[in-house]
Amino acid sequence: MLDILSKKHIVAKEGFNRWLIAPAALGIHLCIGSVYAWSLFNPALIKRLGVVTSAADDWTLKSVVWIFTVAIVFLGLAAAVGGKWLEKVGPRMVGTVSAICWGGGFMVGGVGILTGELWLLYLGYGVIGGCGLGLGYVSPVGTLIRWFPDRRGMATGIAIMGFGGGAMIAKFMIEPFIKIYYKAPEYLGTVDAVELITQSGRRLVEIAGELREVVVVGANDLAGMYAPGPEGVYLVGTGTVGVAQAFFTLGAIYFVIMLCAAFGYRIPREGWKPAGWEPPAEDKLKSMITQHHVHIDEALKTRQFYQLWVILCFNVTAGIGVLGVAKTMMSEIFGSTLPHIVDAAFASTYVLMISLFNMIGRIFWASSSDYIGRRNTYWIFFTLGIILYCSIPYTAQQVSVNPSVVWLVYFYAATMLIFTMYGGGFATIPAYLADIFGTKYVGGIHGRLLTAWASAGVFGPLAITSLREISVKNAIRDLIEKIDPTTFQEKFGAGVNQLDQLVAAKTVTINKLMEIAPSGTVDPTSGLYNTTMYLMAVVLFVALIMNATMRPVDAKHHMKE
Amino acid sequence: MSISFGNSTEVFIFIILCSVYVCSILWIYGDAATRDMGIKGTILPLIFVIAAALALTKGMMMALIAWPVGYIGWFALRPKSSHAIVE
Repeated sequence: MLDILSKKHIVAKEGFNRWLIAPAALGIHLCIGSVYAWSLFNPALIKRLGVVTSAADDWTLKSVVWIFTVAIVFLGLAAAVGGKWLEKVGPRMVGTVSAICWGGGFMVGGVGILTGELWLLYLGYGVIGGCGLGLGYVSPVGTLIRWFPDRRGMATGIAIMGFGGGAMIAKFMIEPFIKIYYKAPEYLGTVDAVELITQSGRRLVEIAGELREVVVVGANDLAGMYAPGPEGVYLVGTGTVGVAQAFFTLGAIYFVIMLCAAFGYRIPREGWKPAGWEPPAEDKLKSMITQHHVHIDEALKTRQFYQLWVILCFNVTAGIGVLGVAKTMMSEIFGSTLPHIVDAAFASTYVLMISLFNMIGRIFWASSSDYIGRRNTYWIFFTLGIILYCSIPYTAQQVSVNPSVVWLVYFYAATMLIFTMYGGGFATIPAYLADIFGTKYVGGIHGRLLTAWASAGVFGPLAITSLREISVKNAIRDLIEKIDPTTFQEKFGAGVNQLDQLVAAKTVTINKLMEIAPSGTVDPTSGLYNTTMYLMAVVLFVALIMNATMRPVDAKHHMKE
Repeated sequence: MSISFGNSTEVFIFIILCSVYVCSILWIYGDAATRDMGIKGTILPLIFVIAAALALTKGMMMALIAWPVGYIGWFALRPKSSHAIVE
């Protein structure tokens, strides 16, 4: 039975059209790429019981937001372990297991949501689903490079573009499915018409002699409801937010598509090459493309592997560094200076454009690398990246001094270009690996290199949150020095000596301090991200050094016949 | 794990340190594979991973100490001979 999944069973027959591999690879990557749409589940997950708004026992945003990070970490680990297995059993077996894990992960996660067991959601989506992501990600890479030795970059770019586009497609599936399965809870009436009791912070109502928990929906909660409903009191536990059912449906859909895609995989027979194509002559002085092969384990003992690890890791860290704050920057900096242009709709379109440019960058840069070379492509990423990252703080400062649309256009263009290079970094790396280590074990080596992505998945958010926190603290300290202590006492009802507690309780914020700051004080909000941007530029500089010193692998690491 | 940073230099050092850790562990896995260490080759790097994680929870200085200790430990414990991987 398992024989149909084996490597020997999927060797392509004479005359097989190699372009048929591309849709199979794209299918798998489109499904697993939906992981980037995780944030769309968050609003529903935190209203699992309350449905219309969060109830007392509902999960908090803080408790569910880490599921995405767990999934990315397990992606890296599964890719590292599964890469070697891929070389042994072939892409169809790995693709099938990936379908089981990704689809199954949704099912287990769905059970966790239904039963209210958060650990099951972490296990299902984060751990099992994360393993499905890693296996699915690496499954087509080596196969595509072997089918397209003449256009390695373009071939892997097509597949990895799917990963970038998965979130866009998922956006049009997740929200409609939640709405289909959504069932509003029982409406008890307006706040005035219902006798509410408060016990231990919970809102309760007596129904037939029994105290039942309720949630109160105010005017501000209406926008967050999946189906329109009136303001007032709703009975907890009588409706369904539909997210568990959406998980089951999505799991089934992804499983079927990925299974079909896995069965579409074929590998070329030994020694196959495209008609009329000859491998380029190896010239050590000029060419970075080797005709030799390096084994997966041996690759880990070469300095080139670690150079590429740093290149990928730091490119992704820098990308996440701006991805994580781009929308906030747009709203905080440009929303206040150019409010007639940057509104909620503008910000939503901006987020959609981020996904689009991330996806376009994957195919564009990976295909371009076939012509300009892999090392030159990364040269562009890092030199241009450093310039763009360093220029963003200047743009933010200028727009706060002179609110001109020119700065908005520049910021928009600069961030979009950064996002194309973020995606391009992912898509070009398999071809770079194939150039350096040969095509034979590229799938497995790529799997191990993805630990760089998992690491960046931790570094990026950590850098953003830490640096913003430091910047906010510094900005508040600077503002305090300019504010009269008596005015501060009158405004916040406490002295400056209690600043730490006031900041921790969010009583004192930059906006509130600006209200009592002397006229002419410059709002420090636009400078909150400067340190993040400069740090990311430094990180890119390290990656640039790694790329600049890249040389072919020493012959002692080549496999001997 | 709770790590607080005072400035951007500390964040940068943390990123570099973690990268060195992950790369060291990968290198040890590769080294173990060419020395036929079997299950020991899987367990020893795993101890390194756990030690690194524990050291990080105690602060960056502990992690800076744990890394060379782990590395020296690996060089002391690994079999002396390695072999080339052939096709």
